[in-house]
Amino acid sequence: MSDDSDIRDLLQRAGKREQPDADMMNELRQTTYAAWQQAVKQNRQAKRRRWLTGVALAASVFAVTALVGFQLTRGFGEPSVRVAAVAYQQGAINIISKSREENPLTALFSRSEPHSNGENVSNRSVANQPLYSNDIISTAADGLVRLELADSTVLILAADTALQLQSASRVKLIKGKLYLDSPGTKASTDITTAWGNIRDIGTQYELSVDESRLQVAVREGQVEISLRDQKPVYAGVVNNLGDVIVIDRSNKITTTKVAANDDYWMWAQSASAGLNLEGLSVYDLLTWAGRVTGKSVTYESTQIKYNAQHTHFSGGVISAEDIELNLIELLKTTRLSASLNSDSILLRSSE
Amino acid sequence: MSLHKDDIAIVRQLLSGDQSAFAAFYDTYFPRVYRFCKNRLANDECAKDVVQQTLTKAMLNLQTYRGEASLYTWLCQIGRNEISAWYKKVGRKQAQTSSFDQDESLVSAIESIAAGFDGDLQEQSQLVQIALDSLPGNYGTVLELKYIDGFSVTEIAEQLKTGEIGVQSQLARARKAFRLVYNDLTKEYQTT
Repeated sequence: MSDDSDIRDLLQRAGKREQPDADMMNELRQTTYAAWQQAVKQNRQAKRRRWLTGVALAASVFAVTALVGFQLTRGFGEPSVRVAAVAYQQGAINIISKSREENPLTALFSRSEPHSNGENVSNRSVANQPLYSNDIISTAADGLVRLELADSTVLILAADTALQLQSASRVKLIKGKLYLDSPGTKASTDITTAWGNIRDIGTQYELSVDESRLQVAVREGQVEISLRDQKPVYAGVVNNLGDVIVIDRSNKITTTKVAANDDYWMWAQSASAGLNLEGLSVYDLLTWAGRVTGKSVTYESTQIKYNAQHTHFSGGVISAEDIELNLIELLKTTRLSASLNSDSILLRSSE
Repeated sequence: MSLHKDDIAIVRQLLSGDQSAFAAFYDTYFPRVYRFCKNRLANDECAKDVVQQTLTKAMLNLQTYRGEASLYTWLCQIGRNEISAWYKKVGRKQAQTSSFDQDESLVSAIESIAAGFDGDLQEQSQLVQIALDSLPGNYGTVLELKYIDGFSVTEIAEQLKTGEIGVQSQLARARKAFRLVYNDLTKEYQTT
C-alpha cells in the first residue's frame, strides 16, 4: 500500500461502516448522559475535597503542637457517640462540634477546624462525614443537606436550618425546615422544638419552625405532635392527601391538605439519594420511584407484576432528579413500559 | 509509554461538565463501541444492553482514565469486560482471547472480528473497518467521506464545519495513521 489510490480501493471494497440505529442511539444517549452527569458531579466534589484537604493539612500542621500541649495539661475526654452521617450536601453548611472541645486531639484528626469563637466549624464539603451526639449542623441560605441516622432514617435540612443531634433517635430542630423519611418499620425519631415534640410513626413528613409558628406536613404514615401542656395532636394521610397542621403562638391549630405527589415536596427530592440498580428488579425500582415521587404504583396485571419482580438490572444508577424521564428511558431496556400521570405510575407490557 | 494527550483533553472536558464535549464524545464513540460489541455478540438486542453497560461504566469511571491507552482502546477494554460478563450471565463460554494480549489496541481490534469468515474479501473488509474505527478522532469519518462518498475537500470542510486547509491536513494525517494501523492489523491477523 503505497499511494492514495490503494487506500481508495481498500475503502471502496470494504464499504461504509455500519451505523447504529438512530432511535437506539438516542435512547442510550439518555442513560449515558445521566451517568456522565453523575461523574461530573462526583468530580467536582472530589476536586473541592482535595483542595480543602490541602488547606486542612496545612492548618493541622500549624495547630498540632499547641493542641498536644493543651491536651497534656487537660487530659482526654470521653469519646462522643456517632449518631449520623452526612450523605449529601449542596451549598454551604456548618458543623459545630461542641463535644470536640472536650477532646481536641480527636477534633484535630476528625474533621473540624478551630474557629475564632472557640467552636469547631466546618463549611467545606463533608459528604460521608460522621456526626456525633450534640453536634449542631446548620445550612446557609443556599444550603441543603441530607443526613442518614444510624437506623437509616433520612433527614433533609432545607436552607437556613439548624439542627442538633442529641442521640441516634432524638434531634432538636432549632430553626428552619426539615424533611424526615423513615422507611420500613424503624423505631421513631423524636424531634424536639421550642414548641414541643414531634414523633413519627413510620412516615415521611416535613417539619418547620420559626418564632411565630410550627408546621407539620405529612406525606405518608402518621405523626404525633406533643405541645407543652397540651394533649397530643395526630396528623396523617387519607386517600393520598396528607394533613398540613399549623400551630401559632396562641395554640390555634389550622389544618389543610397536601397530596403526596404535590410539587410541595420537590425541594426534598433534589437531595434524595439516587438508586444503584445493580441486581435490583423493576419492581424494586418502581417501589423506590413511588416513594420518591409520592405516586401510587399499579400493575396492569398480576403477570406484569410477576414480570417486574423477575426482571433485573445488571448495573447503572438512576438519579432522583428528573426521575420520571429517567424511569421511562430506563424501562425501554426491558419488555416493560410505564405510563405516568399526576397521581400514579402504571406498569404494563411494551410489546 | 507515550500518553494520548488529545484523549486526555477530551476526558478533562467531559469531567468539567462541557455539554458540547459530551455530544462530540457520544457521536464519535457510540458507533465505534457499538460495532465493537455487535461483532462479538449474538444479536442487536444483546449489543444494545452491553453497549449501555459499557458506556455507563465508562462515564462513571472517567476519572480513572490516565491516557496510557487511547480512549477507544480503553472503551473497548470496558466493553470486553461487559461482554465477558454477559456471556457468563447467559451461561456460555467466554470468547477465547488470542495470544497477542500484550498489545491492547490490537487485542481490541482483532477480537472484534466476528467468528466465521467466508472469504478473503470479507476478512479484508472487516480489517479495513476495524482500522477505521481504531483511528484517532474523526480520521475514519474523513477517509470515508473522501474515498467512499467521493466528497471534495471543500464539501468535507462544509460538512465538518471547518476550513479546507484543516481538512487537507486531517486527510494527510488520517492516511498515514490508516496505513500504520491497517498494516499492523494485517500482520497480526496473518500470524494468528
